[in-house]
Amino acid sequence: MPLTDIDINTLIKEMTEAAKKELKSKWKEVKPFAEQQLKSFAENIKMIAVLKAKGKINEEKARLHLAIQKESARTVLLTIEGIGLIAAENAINAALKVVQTTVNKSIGWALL
Amino acid sequence: MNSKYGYSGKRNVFSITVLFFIFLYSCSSVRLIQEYDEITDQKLTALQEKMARFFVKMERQIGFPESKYENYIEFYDDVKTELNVLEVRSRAIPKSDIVQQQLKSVQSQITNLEKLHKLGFNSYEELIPIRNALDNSFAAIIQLQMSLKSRIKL
Repeated sequence: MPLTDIDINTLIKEMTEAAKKELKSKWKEVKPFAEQQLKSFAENIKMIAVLKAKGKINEEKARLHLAIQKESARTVLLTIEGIGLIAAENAINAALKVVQTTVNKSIGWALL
Repeated sequence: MNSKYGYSGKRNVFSITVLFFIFLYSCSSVRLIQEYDEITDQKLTALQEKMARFFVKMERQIGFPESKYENYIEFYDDVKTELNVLEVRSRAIPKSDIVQQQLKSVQSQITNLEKLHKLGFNSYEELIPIRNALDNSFAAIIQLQMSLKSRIKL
């Protein structure tokens, strides 16, 4: 299949499903951000394919373009990973806060 | 007079007290990822503005000699220096692996943009996917900084 025949919607759907599967419980927190970024990534890939097909860029340039897109996607995935860590951290700290409140209340002063 | 609890009893009370303080200590907030860093956030926003200006200028200049790589060497030097400064700063912040990797990723994108610029741009169309990619990268890094800022603290 030529690159220009890439079905953007299918590509976005498949990328979203793959990300969702990997992220599991963290997906809910990152969904709006991840979906928007994956859509943009797929559109950029399609744009590069069209530029190459029209002869506006050669193979060397196409490779550099794709390397930029790959690194950009990496940056986005790292943010998703970071947001997932913050979500896990928030869950732990929210639980600890309950312990803190209970202990402080039971002894009558702010020990924790 | 002997104590009511004896030596082993005292040792048990001591152990329980130690365990209690270990428990209290463990109740301090958990950190899985670095603290929010205001300077990184500000510098990244400034860098993103610089990149946005680059694309606006290139859109106007493309097709003219002003858009040639030779006229942008200083721009690339500045951007690479700023990214390097940010990366070194990030290395000094505990649990900053993710942000460090993000900065390296942006450095790599700038290096490839520079290589493409050296080869020459024939139309602004060529720059659109690069601008989008860099916008997405900066948006992602700034989004993470915002999430770090709004995390739950004990």
